[in-house]
Amino acid sequence: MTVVADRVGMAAAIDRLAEALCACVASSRAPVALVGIRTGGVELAERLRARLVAAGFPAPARGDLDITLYRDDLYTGLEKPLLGDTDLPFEVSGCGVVLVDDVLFTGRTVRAALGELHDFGRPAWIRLCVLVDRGHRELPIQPDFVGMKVDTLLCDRVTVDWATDEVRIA
Amino acid sequence: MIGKDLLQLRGMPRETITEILDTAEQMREVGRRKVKKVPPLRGRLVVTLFFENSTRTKTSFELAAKRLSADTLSFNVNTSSTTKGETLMDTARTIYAMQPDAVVVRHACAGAPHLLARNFPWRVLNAGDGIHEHPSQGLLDMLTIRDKFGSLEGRTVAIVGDVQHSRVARSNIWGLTTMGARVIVAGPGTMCRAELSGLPVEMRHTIDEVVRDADVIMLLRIQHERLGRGVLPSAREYATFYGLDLARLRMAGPDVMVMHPGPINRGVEIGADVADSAQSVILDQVTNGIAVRMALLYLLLGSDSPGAGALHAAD
Amino acid sequence: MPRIENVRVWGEKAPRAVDLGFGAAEGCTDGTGMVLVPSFVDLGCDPGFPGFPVRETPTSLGNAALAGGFADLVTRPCVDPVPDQPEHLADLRRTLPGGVRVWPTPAMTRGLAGQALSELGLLSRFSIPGVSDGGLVTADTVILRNAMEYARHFSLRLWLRPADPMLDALGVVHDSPFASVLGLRGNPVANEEIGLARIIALVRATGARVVVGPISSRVGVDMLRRSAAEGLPVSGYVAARSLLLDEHVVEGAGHHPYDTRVRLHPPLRSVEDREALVDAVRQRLVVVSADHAPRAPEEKELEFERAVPGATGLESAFAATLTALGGDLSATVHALSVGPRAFLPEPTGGWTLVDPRAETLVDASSHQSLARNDALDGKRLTGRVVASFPAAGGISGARPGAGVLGQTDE
Repeated sequence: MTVVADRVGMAAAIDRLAEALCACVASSRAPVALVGIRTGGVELAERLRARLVAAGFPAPARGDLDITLYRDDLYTGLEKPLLGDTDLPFEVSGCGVVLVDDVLFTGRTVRAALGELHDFGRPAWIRLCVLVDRGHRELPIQPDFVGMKVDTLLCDRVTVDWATDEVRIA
Repeated sequence: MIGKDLLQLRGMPRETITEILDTAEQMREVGRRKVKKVPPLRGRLVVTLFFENSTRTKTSFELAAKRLSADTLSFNVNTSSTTKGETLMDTARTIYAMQPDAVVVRHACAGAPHLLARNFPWRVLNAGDGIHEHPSQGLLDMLTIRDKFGSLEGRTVAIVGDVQHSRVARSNIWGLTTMGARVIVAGPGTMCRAELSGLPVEMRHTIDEVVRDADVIMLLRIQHERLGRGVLPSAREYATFYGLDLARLRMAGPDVMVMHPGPINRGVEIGADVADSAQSVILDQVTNGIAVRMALLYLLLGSDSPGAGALHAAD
Repeated sequence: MPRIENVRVWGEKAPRAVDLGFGAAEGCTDGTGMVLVPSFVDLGCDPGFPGFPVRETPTSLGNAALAGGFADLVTRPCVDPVPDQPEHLADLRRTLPGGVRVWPTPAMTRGLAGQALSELGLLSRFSIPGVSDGGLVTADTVILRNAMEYARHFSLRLWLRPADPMLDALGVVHDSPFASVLGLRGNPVANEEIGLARIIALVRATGARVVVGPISSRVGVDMLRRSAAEGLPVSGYVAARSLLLDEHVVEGAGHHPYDTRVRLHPPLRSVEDREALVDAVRQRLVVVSADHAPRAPEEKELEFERAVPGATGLESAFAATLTALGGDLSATVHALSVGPRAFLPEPTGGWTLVDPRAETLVDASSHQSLARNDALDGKRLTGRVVASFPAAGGISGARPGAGVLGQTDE
């Protein structure tokens, strides 16, 4: 197991994201909402919201997506993941949505999240914000805001530990 | 983990029941969305095969399947060739050739879903077999009780009426007791026979005895075809001795919950004022029914299932 | 002429060589450990012919009987057309391929409808074991009494199934807490009790000789015990399978839930009932029948309540009885052979070679019967039928008096 980003590296990555996000919010005509993808994106979305407020922006709307029902690998024989809550307590239509996840890998989770989001309404725009881009995309999906890029092997497991603020590869 | 089929709640482990109820809670959230449809069963075919009339259960299953994006196809005994003497197995063979992934079956004979489950690789969901079980109804009742009390453990559920001939009662009795609840029953001797001792219930004679102790009062529908066959002299007699009216309801605690699988006979097993009272959760039961059936279809079909389609392809 | 070495003959002590006058032992020449016993008689056989070629043919029935060690079959009239006239008997009284003899019991009432008596006098001129209700309960007690009074004059036995006509139609399994769990309608013991009480009361009044069966309950055998003590001419038989199976086989233990192979009428009852039946056989209060009721797949591949009741039994009855009686060959031979032979109108002299220590795995798919609905399918039992010699008559080399029927194997 290798630590690819420690507390300091994480803080720098989140700083980068917060800065880009502030610029994005400042330039948006539509109200902005931060939507975390369960489960890894929720904590990041919370932290980014706090940074926006600290920077003097009005608190953005928050929501979380559980994309299990939209997954494209339900029939592949994997253990069925437990369903979680999808909670979008704001009007999605007309809103600028920043999708937040911890790790961007194949892009399939984001595809599912985009599909689910559209069942709730028609957002003004959607941006993708991730802490770690580990590569190996299988779909034409690219992030708008990236905290850090990490070179990985396809078989690696990348985990973000929000308790210790570390990014590890196993 | 849920098995291949949903045939009965007797013998279903506690963890499986919990998994179904937890999943149903998530499915309920889908029903509150503007677009009440999610994609996990896209391209799957769910057949409802009903040999007895039932608008409620059938539409509930069909709606559940549609909300999960499955296709549905419905066979009724009146419109199918069973009236011409076709056997259940022959009907099933015909439907199997349409390559469904799951069959929701209601039948007048106990064990009919078991026959379909044993002989075909599709998933079978029992929507009521004779007087045996009606597992999805039991689960939705349990979800409704759990919503209010947080847990089923230690709760006392009174079931009043024709327990002997009730598949709803049997499913509730097995499910509730597995989850740690206590079930007490009351009804006329022909409807609560001594042979019910095979079920994990405590038998009482009068409705007053069970109402006093109950957290939940579950009323069973009086089937009109039972009248006049010696099982019950009249609806009036039943209402007098076993109907739940406001006076009896007051004997129960203020938090008591009144349930009924529907459709209700106002003034027979349930007083009109009770049906509309704050304690009544009859309409919550309907909403929960869709969520529970979504959960069941999702858990049975939503993962790598040996659906009929796959088996046909392998042939 | 087949010769078997080292075989013990029923009624004798030491093994010896036996020459059989008829039949073949299928290559068996060494009879070590085996016993040659009087051939068996089924008192409750549903032949399936004429009328039900999907159930059984004369050839398949004969082969099934031979495979099970049966040389004589008392058959019920539940065939099509219902044999209720002397003219029908010519076709029914026959020797099946292989030498198995069929002893038909014609219908006691015309068409088995329970409304008008058959020509019992004319029927009695034939060598028949008696007349039968075909397992259908005669609802009209007056008709039943008249049949008894009328039959007595012709020394005809009546073969009846004891049941209450209304309760009998009610249930499909033993009425019990377990039936309540399965959600199946129960057939109460009271059904048999009422039916027996009615028959016994009429026998007491008329003096008719009756055979009742299959008896399924403790209450039933207790009533037979009392009527025997009273000296009433009421005999009873039980089905071999009911000595091994109880109501719980409807679920589990080799059977799948709602297994229609155990859809029987009367139903399999409680463990206590089963034990009482075994005791009654040991005490020789009742004899044992194969209760052979072949059913086609389309009659069984149905919902439990809608499946046609009945199970085959000829090919498993010996092992089932021996197993239930704990390997007691003497009691088994009495129950299946010595006892039932008393109900035949003519003496019979067949022999059956059995291996009482061999294990039998009941495999209905390999049975000679056309039907596959043996309720004991898949069971491992003690005792095996090696060969049957239905028309062997006397066996050469037998010491005088040896092997005489009615002797116990002491």
